[in-house]
Amino acid sequence: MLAELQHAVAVAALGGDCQPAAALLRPGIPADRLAIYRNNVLGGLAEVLAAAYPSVARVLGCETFRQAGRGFAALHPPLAPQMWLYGEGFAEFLEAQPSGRVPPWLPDLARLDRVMHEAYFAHDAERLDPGRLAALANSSDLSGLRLSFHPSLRLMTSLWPIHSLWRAVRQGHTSPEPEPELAPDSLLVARPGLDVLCRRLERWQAGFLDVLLRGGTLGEAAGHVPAEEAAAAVQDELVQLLQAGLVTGYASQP
Amino acid sequence: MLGRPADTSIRGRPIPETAGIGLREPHMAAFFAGGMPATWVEVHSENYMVPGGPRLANLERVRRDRPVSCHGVGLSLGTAGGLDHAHLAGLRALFDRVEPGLVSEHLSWSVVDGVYLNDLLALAYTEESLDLTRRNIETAQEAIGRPLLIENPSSYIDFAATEISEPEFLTELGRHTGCGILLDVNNVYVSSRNMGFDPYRYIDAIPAEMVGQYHLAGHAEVDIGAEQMIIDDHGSQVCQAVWQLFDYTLARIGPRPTLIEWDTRLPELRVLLDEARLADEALARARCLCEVSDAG
Repeated sequence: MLAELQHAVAVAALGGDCQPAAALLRPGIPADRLAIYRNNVLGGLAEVLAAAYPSVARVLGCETFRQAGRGFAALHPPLAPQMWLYGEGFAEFLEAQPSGRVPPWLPDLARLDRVMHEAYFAHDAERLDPGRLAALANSSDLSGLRLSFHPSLRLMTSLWPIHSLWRAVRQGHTSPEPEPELAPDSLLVARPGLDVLCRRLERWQAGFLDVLLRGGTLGEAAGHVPAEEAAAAVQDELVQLLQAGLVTGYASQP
Repeated sequence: MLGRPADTSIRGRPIPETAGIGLREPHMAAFFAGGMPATWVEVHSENYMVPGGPRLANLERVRRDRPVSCHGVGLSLGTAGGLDHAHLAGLRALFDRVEPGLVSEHLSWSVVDGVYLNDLLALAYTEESLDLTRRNIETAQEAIGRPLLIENPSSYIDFAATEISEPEFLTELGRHTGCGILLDVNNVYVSSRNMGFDPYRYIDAIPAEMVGQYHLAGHAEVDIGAEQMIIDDHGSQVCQAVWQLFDYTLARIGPRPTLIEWDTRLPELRVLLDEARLADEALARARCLCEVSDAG
């Protein structure tokens, strides 16, 4: 009995048929009141999404985002009570909108918002003291070394110049025009301290990091570095990663 | 004679019988900059069930200096489908880390068929749901290793199946499970306006010794269909009628830790602190009354 009642109220709260729930109310209670729960649930989830996808919210504006958020929420309600987890799949939802309704690069901006959101809540980790690796470099060859990285570190690629679009939106331009770019944009997102950083990578930098993130050695990763400047470039890249607090450890065994 | 609160003190730093504030992330910077200007704070448990990052770091910093109460919104104690044991384990891990002075949840449900509805949905007060909620509370208290305070909800609807009044339902839960009551005075007022009952008689029906904490918040008046309804949106100051009901509650039940909650249209932190000051004044007046009645 209770299970059926709760099922009926849930359907109404998610914007579905109100009749089954209305039939269970005490006589004299207007069925219109079920709208309070519908507004609380769908309106509340739209607000959760707006906080998790701040760049998308800026581009769409309050009212359009609210409608999109409610539409997503009715189709994909949360499966866990931790609201910071909610909203996976919103980029794909935007992608499935009829063409012309949202800018074609908006789904990728949503992916970037999501990656940054996940980085914000990722596990903490102690950074590796750069001096330890420097000492090692003096005494031995580093090419067999494998690095471990901060748990918040993520790489993302986009066919759009997503980094400059993201920056423009953050600076208040709500309808930036992307320069057409053929090369995919690669981004590094991480939260080594309290702040989330988002950095555009050269193609070889992304390849270099990708190999390391998959557990490859520095020697294997160096294969992605332009030959003419390999040694210096690898060193610069390593120093940058270390100084940003993104490297948490190393192992010299295979 | 005023009843003493239920023994809901747990191993964390105890929550004093003063006014605290619901601490939300947008207020953290102002809270630290102001030297943590509240005697205690309450946070939503689920907001801190995160792997890492600044949120947890903030809470760790707060709990070193102030007693913390953890208020849950996701346990769905009235759910027909049974409790989520992974969620219970997550709560336990959070409480072991934060060591809250009080832990509370709602008399409501929000999970059906594995879907979580981010609202506190109305329970049908029947013998069946009483039995089920009682078992869920026992399971939850066992899993988290602490007693719970259960909060009365704001009501907008009522079911034909209803067999038991809300105060009776809460009292029965307390008797059978040892849980206490978190009496939300604004919710009593909101429900009384929406459902047409006397809020003072509701307060009279709550056993004083079961009450471990009060909540106070603002509400909004909204047109729903042809009627005007009161929505518990935690988006404004506590209204005069609720302050009066709070005075009456304090005189009948006695002082308890009292929380000012604000969740939508957040104002500056000082607005919450001003509300907390008003609540502290009401608590001080009640203590005077208390001394007079004890002396007599």
